[in-house]
Amino acid sequence: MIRLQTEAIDFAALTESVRSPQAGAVVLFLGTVRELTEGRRTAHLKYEAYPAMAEKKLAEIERETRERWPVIEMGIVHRTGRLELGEVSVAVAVSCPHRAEAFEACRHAMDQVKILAPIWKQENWADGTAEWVHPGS
Amino acid sequence: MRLKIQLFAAARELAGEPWVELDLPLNCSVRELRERLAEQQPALRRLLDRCSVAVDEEFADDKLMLKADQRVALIPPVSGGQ
Repeated sequence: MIRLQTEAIDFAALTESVRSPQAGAVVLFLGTVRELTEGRRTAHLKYEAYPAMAEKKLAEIERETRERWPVIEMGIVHRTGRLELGEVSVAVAVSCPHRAEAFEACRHAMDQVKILAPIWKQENWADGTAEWVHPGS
Repeated sequence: MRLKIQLFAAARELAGEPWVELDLPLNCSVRELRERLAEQQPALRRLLDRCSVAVDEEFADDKLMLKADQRVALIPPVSGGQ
């Protein structure tokens, strides 16, 4: 299950949606809005997506993860718009027969989201300045 | 041919608009599109080299030949994270 949304992520419902009697392990990853980055204080974040492509890439990540691990159910949800400190920006839930593969599959899917999904983060610092996070500058 | 290119994040802010239109020759590659974009939008130059180009929602190689009515977007580096 793949979704981009501006509303808060119901990660309890997402976790429940991947539970299955075939699974012996459920792993949930949450990315949350951190206050301090290298000593600088964040006031809030904004996420912007290219929705059509982001949804396509998230679906590809799900498909590829399912090919490599014995995934029973999985879901990836990413928020867009303004997020306050501590809020959940991204959630990945995976169920597998055993825990090692569930941890690996979840980590892999989350790492791929950060590499492939056209979703950008804007730091809005406590000092009132804002900057898009585009690594490599 | 005339192509509209969708911009996001810092690219959108540097250009000051979410779409730019370019007049391109027929049989134009993604590489040539990048060159035209840099000419028409000098503010984008610094970021452009680090951007990917998406054609019909797929990352495109610089050698790809463009066709009219394709959906083209400039994709700045994504946040990566640790």
